Amino acid sequence: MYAGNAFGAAPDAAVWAELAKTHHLSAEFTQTQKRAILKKPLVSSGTIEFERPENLVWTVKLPAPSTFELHGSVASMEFPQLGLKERFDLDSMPDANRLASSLLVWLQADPAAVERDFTVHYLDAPARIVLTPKSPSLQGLIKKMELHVKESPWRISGVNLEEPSGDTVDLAFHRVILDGKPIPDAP
Amino acid sequence: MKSDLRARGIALLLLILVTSVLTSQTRVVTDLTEAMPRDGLFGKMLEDAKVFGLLDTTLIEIDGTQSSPEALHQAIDDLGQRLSSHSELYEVKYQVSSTAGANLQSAMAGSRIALTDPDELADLLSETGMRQALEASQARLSGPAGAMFARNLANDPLDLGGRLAQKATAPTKGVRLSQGHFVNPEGNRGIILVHGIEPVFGTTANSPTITVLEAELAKTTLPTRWIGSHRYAAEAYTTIRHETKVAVASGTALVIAAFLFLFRSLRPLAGTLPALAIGTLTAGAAAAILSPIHGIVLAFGGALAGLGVDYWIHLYLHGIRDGVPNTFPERIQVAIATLRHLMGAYGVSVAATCTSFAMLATSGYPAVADLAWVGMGASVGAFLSVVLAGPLAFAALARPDDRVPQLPIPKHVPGWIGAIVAVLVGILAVGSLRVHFDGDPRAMDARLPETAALEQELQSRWGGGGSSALLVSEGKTLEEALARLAPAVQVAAHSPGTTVEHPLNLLPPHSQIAANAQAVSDHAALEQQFIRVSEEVGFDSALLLPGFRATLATTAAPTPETWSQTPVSELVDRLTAQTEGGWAVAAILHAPTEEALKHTQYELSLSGSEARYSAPADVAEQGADRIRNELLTRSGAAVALVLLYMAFRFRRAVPVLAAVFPTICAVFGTLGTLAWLGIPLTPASGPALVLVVGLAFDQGIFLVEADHSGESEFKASQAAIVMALMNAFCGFAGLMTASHPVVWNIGVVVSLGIFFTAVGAFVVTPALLTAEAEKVVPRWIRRLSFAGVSLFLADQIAEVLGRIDPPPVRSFSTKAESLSPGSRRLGDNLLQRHHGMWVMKVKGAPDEMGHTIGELAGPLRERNEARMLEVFEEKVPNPLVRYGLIRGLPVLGRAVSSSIDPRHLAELAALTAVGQDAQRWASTAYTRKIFLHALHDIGQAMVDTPIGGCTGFVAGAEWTKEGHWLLARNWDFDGGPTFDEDKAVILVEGEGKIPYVHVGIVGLSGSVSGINAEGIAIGLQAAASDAPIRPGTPMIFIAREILENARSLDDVEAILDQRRGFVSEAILAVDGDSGEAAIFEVTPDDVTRIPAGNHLAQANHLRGPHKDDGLNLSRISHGTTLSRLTRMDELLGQGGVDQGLAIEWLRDRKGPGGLELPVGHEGAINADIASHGVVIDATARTIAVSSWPNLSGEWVEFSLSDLQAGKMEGRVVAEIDHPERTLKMHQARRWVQAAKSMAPVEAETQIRHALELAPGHPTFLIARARALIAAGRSEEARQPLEQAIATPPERESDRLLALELLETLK
Repeated sequence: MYAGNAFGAAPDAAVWAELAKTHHLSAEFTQTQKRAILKKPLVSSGTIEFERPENLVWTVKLPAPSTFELHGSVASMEFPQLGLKERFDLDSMPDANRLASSLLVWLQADPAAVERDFTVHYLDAPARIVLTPKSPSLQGLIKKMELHVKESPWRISGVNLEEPSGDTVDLAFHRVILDGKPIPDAP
Repeated sequence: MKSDLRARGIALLLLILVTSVLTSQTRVVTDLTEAMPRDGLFGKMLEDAKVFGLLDTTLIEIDGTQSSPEALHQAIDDLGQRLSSHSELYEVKYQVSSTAGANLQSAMAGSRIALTDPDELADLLSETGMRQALEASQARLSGPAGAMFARNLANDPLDLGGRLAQKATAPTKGVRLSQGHFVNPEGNRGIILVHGIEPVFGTTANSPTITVLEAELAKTTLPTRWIGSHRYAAEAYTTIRHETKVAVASGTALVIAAFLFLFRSLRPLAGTLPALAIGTLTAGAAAAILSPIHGIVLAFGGALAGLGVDYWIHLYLHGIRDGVPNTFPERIQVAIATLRHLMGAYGVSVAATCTSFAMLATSGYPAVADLAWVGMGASVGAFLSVVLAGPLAFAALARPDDRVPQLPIPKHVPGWIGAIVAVLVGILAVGSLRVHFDGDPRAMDARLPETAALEQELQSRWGGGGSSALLVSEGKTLEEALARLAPAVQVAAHSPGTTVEHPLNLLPPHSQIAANAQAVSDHAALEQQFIRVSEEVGFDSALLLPGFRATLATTAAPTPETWSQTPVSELVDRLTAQTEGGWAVAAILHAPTEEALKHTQYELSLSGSEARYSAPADVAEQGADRIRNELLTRSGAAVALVLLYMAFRFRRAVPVLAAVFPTICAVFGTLGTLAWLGIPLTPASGPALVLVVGLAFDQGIFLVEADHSGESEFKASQAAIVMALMNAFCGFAGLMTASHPVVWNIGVVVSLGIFFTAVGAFVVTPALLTAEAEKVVPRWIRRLSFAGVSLFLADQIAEVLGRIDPPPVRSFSTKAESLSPGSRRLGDNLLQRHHGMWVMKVKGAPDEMGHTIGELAGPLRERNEARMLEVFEEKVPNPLVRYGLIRGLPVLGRAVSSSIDPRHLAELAALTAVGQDAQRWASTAYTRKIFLHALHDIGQAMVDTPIGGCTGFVAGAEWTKEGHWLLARNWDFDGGPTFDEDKAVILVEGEGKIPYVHVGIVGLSGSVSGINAEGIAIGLQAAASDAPIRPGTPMIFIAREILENARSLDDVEAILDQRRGFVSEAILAVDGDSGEAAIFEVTPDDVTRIPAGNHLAQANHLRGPHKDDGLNLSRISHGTTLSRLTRMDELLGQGGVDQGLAIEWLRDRKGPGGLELPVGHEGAINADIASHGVVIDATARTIAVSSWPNLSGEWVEFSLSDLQAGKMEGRVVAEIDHPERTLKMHQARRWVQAAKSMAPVEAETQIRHALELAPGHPTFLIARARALIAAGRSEEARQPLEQAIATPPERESDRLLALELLETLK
């Protein structure tokens, strides 16, 4: 069993195999976006539910409810307060497809896909992984993505995303449930 | 004689030489459109169908259920690419490329404002709209795809591009995209859409469209199936060809057998060869001169080549009747003498045939006109063949021992037998007026059963099916054409059940572009507003403003080229076409049933739309109409001319009548029998009947010619006629074994024609000739005349006895002004079409109102009455019973009229005095009107059942949400579609009376649901009691009297007590002002007021003093009233009702206890039969009315005060509710009704299809079980019976029947 490198050392590629052991993940999240077009940071919160291989339900509860669902290459979004419901095929929407890839890459924790699409830097303990897109098209959306990993069991506890424009999106997960088992939030 | 022979021989050789050369030059085409007229509406409709590919889209399904999605996608790509490589044959749509979405966004970038719907743009540019759009963008940012939206936000802050792209690529029902492929929701089946370039009409099994497609499909790794018009056309071609071959082969064998049987020799048969050869050559020569000629014309022309055979048979039999000489020269002499003797008959016959064809040559149908010329060629050939080759053939083939066959056919037929047959033919002639001329291609469906099943399966899976039609408009420019299309699309898109595929979202008319440009012209104000709103929402307006400014400038008009590299290019290409005169643009209408399309067509006609509506069925019907009209006019002229020839020839009336009677028998006997059997005449069998007419003329002429030449000649003529008819019958009878409806239909029509020709030739004509000889004709003419006059007088006496004289009314000269087909005005009185219903306001003295209604109604009155007549004929199919009712019922109506308020009679009298009366033959318009108003009562009195059933309730005070007093009810009146599709909301402001609004139809002066200005609302619901029926005021007039006069429920009770009427009724009544409701149970004996408290539901049974009456108890135990009332009680018990909830309850489809019932179950409150539903708010003086179909259309609220102020538009208070369910139910009911007159096997198939539209309907399940048992498939009947019992059945009698049937299966 992978238990990380020696205490205090950065993890290596084997961490993906540990993350990949989770079949079903659900968690609450808080997302903070700092964007030039926004006068102040936009904080949203909700739940995320992921089931292998590629089923994702992302529910925003505040400030305005919305649901994003991804099942294979079919994505749908619903904004009940606005009466909007959209469904689209990611294969015919390159931008959306790239974005979905970047979302799924850390949820699926597929080392081959990670290596294919990103340059990976494994940083300090217990784990901080920095992903830099390789393809220019994905670089157009994401400058770099920083994953915060916690152990026992291994899981992503937060994501910092930096866009080429300088805008940032910070995600923090809590009340995580892995394969039905609640994981206490770290103090 | 030798020189005579030589001359004939030379002439014959020359004829053969010339006609052979000409015939070899004949060019044949197979495209059926070449045979169709190009002019007029029909030509345009046909052209539309071709140009816009309504007929030639093919759907290929690739089955990936046993493979991975990747394999399915690969198979779709492979097949799509291979088919695309045949660009000369197909336009293929199999994939949306991964850049398609980006291409679409890019294509519309410069035209975002121009492309946006003006109403939507106005909303979006309002402060609220802008705020909503920006908040939506912010909400999107919060999701996981925030980065993507953030980038777009700066360029398009209001997300116009996103909205437009959503609209443009909205997936079709049942189809989604998977990696750019069109797949089903499960993703395991894919489709490819193929537009065939080769015209459908000419397709055969060997056409490249078919052969290449099937070869490519065979190479596909996954299972594939396909449907489309090319396939149907090819199957029709193959079937017709095969079955015609079989029929020709069997016909030839039969002809040989007939000759052997009658002559014990084939020599006479050999004599037909020159006739056939020369007839074929002359017909072919005519075809060559007309080349190119359609194959179908040649096929019919080939049949005409047999005309000469008849002439030969006559020559042969007349030649041998007095014995045949031994030597060739002597036989030549006999033949020439016989030929000269028959020349008169030949002459008249050829003249008659050529005249008939000459008339047809004036047809607008190229095929019919060509056929006429070919027919004339064949007739001339027939004549020349007997003149030139006849003597030689006779001399060569006749032998001294040849004898005329002795047939048991008498020369003299008693006059009374002839009279009986003539009368029978006369009865059939009357019936022939009802013959159905069916031009609908589906009636001539040649699809193989497996193809039909496949079509149903694939269309159901891929969301297609139903019916389609085209809306086409033309213009010198594309802009002009689009501008004409736009209003029609708007109307069609609003019609329930109809969806519209059109190019206007992509190519908006310039009026829209200009209006939108104007809407964004005040940049400064809009920018100010944008800055303020975006700041308030939380955006940095400075960063978004450039994008907003850029958006405001996107007003460029898109062109077809704009979309060339986008996924919608196929749609644009398909729906726009450059024509010789400029541009044509189309919209495709899809609807679940034909009924929905017909309704859309009706709404379009009322809207004054300039777009042309054409549906495949209409194309065929138009074609059929033209053929029918041409046949009638041309045939009429031909008959007149032929009668003239005969008059010249025979000089006296009786021989002319005798000669023409075989034709009369053939035409009217055939048409009458077809009408009686319910077999339609088709565009193919119509011309075939013309062939029979030619044959019948010949036989009549030959018989009359022979009449004066002695017994032996008459016998010879009779034998020749037998042979000629047998010959023709053998040729066509084989077609009756065909499975193809068209081929079978021709076989039936011609066989019937031949049978009735024989009846005329062997019974009526001899009887007439005998009668003439015995001088009995004048006597019979006198008798027949007396009988005819007596019948006419009896009819007129009955009509006069039933006639009700209208009261004297003033004469008015005012005329209504027609503002558009859907809007008429007369002074302050208005009739307008809104939301699929009529809205009318009338005021004045009774006769003034009557005149006004008559003027406003205009053509609507005739339409309503014609449609009600259709329902009458449908309900009472027996014409004699109908006649009895038409003449008998008005007598009862007369008794009724004496108890109607004279004011109401004056209104009806003035109304019926307006305009022409198309139905005057039945009775006077006024008499009919009185009867119409008593229909509900008389119907109920006669059959002891309400026509349909109604459910409703009254509620008020604390039981309603706002404390208002409500009356809600469904009027389940099965009086035909008029009461639904042409329902009218009518405001009546009678002189000195309380104004009221009610729902009915224009021209119906009584009321069933309404409210007056004093807040009194009422609704009539039929009931039953044992109280004896007595003639009285029709209930709908009593209801009107209440609305006009009542100010309280006490007033209501007093009026009811005074009038009562002659049947039992439950009347829901509410007083909105005093806050009181009651249900009045009215019987001819008494009136019982049942206070409703704050709520009470009502269906169709009584609960007062008559609750234990036998009829009431029977209704409770055997009808659906208890089920509906129980359910309404449950719903009403919830309380807190308001208008919206009341509508929801009236639309409820469940049974008691919330039991799920199949759609259309009559135990439910909503059984898809209501002519209208209303929710009346007696407190607010409003009435919400359901629009077509039944309760599924929009519900529109009308306020009494608005109507009084001339505001007629109403306000939508409930959106449409799955009208396709209702429409499918209607279709299913029609199919099950039609199945009653079908053979068990066909009936079972039909009912099974109905059950696909209305799954689990218990009455249909029982009907299917009965059909299965009748078809000998009893074991299969168990399941539907058990399912019906479990559902449960609609009525107790149905349950008992199902149990009884189950018992028989044990």
